[in-house]
Amino acid sequence: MQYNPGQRELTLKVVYYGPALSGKTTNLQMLHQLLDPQVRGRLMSLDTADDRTLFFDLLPVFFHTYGGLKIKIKVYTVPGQVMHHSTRRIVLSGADAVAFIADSQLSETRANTDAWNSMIENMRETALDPTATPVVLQFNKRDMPHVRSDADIDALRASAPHQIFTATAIRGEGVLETLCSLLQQAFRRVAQQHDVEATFGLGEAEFLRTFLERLAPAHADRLASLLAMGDAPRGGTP
Amino acid sequence: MTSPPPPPGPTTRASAVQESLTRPRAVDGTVLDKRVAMVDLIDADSFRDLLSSFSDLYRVGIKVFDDAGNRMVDVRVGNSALCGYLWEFGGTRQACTKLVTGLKNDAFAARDGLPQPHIVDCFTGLRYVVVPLVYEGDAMGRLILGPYLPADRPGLAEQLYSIDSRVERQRAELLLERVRRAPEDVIGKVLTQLGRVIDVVLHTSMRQLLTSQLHIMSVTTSYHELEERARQLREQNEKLQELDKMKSNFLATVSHELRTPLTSVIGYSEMLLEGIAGNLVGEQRDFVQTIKEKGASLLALITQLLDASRAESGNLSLQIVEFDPTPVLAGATTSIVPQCAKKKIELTVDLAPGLPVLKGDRDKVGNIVVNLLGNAMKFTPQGGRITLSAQRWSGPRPPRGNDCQALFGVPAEDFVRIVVQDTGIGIPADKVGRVFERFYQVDDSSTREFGGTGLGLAIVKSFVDAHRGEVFVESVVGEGSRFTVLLPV
Repeated sequence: MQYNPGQRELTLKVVYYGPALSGKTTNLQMLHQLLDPQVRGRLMSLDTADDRTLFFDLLPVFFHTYGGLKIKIKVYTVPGQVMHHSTRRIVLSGADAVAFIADSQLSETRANTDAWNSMIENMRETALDPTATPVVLQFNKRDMPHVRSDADIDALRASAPHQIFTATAIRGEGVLETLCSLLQQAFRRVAQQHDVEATFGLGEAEFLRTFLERLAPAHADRLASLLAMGDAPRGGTP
Repeated sequence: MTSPPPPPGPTTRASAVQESLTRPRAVDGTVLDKRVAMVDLIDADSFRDLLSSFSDLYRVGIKVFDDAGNRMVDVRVGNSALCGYLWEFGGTRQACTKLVTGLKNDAFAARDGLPQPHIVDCFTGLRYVVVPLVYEGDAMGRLILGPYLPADRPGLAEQLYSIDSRVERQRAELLLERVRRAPEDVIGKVLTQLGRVIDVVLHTSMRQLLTSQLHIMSVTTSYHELEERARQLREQNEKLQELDKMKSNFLATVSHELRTPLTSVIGYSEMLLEGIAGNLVGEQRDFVQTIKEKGASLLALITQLLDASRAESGNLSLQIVEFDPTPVLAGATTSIVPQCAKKKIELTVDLAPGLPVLKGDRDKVGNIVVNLLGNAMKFTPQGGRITLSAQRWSGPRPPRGNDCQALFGVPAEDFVRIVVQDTGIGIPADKVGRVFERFYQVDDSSTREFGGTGLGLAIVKSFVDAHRGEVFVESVVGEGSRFTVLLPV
């Protein structure tokens, strides 16, 4: 997170973590399609010949709030392959929130567990407190056979300290929900550390509403109710 | 008009690598989040060439300034003569300077937080379009297209001649003909095309920059991790060496402590057998004899252990004398004569006459041969044959496979060559290289069948090494082994 009140600029960094081939890049590709081209840059993929992520993917998102604060969001994926250990750490460093993209298939349980443990270890290595950094969990590939049951995931939702979403990223389902929740939590954390509200009159509800209206107006109402911000004041044009 | 300072050169890759390698170990992701200046992102010469082609194509000048006001590109087309002429007069020069300052520095109006292009009309009636260069919402610099004469204007502005009366209308109009006259829609198209190209250039450059920086970071992190692992291994190795030394010292002490009482056991047994304490009868004699024999073999074993641990702990001291090896070699055979007789093994001793005098430790050389003969005895089946031979020999040492030897060859030296050959079980080819290691047994079962500690050949090797000699073995499984010792004369 980079907060620069002088330049009226707030940069949030969110990172998509998860085992190889769990759909992190697909999440970003869908976000790239779903978000308004006015507020997002090109999707930058540093990939290998076999199309698997070599270093990272980066989707930059930028918009202005009605109060004139420039918000920049950098959405990264880390490479899932085991060999890119150091790259994962570099990308993870300084993240304001992390989305863990798990593969719902039962056969991938082991890979999910290993990646989760490596994420926790890497967070510690990069001085990110795993208990304080928001982590959102996405069970992707719901369209595949032999996946963890919905009941199973509901039970998990009831007990886990993390927000949990189900997704079929390849069809764009659950992708925006995951990002919104991620940004909500990232913003909440930043707002705790810096008084963004007092300086720019920007509260969490305002931030999310602006984000939704600027980025994905077609989905704004659905996502707003999902994030329980129905009572947030609706602003007009600046 | 004053020239802006030249743009600072991009950070050199080599110094970045050097700096990152010498930094203390830390994972630093800020490299990805740093705001990058355009001069660090784009190769200025290539960018100039690219915009020059655009300029040539549309015949309009292009200037690019980065966010700090540094001029990156300045391509002039057609207007140089007119502007040069107007620069000659105080009034127009002043107006020109003011205009250019504004082009470079005037802030852009923003819409939805994004800076918007604006049009600047020159006092001459010519026109510039100033376009912000934005990448991912960040201002990177500005592009100035022009000057051009808008197609709907008849010619130079009348006010030009009032700014400085020395400007000659006819000359100015003549120079204006070289300036591009362009309709606004053409200029719009040029700007759209240019914008797209610059966006691609910025994106590609940013991608390259991030890739290379991450590569460097990644290599640096791995380097520091490996360095840390190497340090841990080094520490562990030092600890192990220390432990090994302690173990050798312990063995040496224990062996010594064991030998002292054992010598008494053997001594008293001998005295009993000699009848000093009265004559022994029947089974008494046999029992005492067994005590003495078993005591002696235990003593031999302990001595072996002691030798091996001494060699290992670096405490091997040689009593260097000049001696004739013949009696030493002959004496060594007496140790196995009784066992040969028992196993019906034929022992042949073939010592060439006139062996040269050796300089070394007589006892240790004797021990070398005793150990080799003992080893041969152990692995040679009943009715087999053991041969001990020795002669003077000149030749090169066996190759060790090092480059220097391969390049320059191995010089011949003079040796006493001692060979112990047996018709024993032999050593498999893949185990031959290991038989001189301490505690090594060709296979575990052989320990039970043939006995021994696995120290004999290790002792041979350390004694031979202490004499700067060579020992090696050739063996055929089922046919026997041939151990050769070369002791330098």
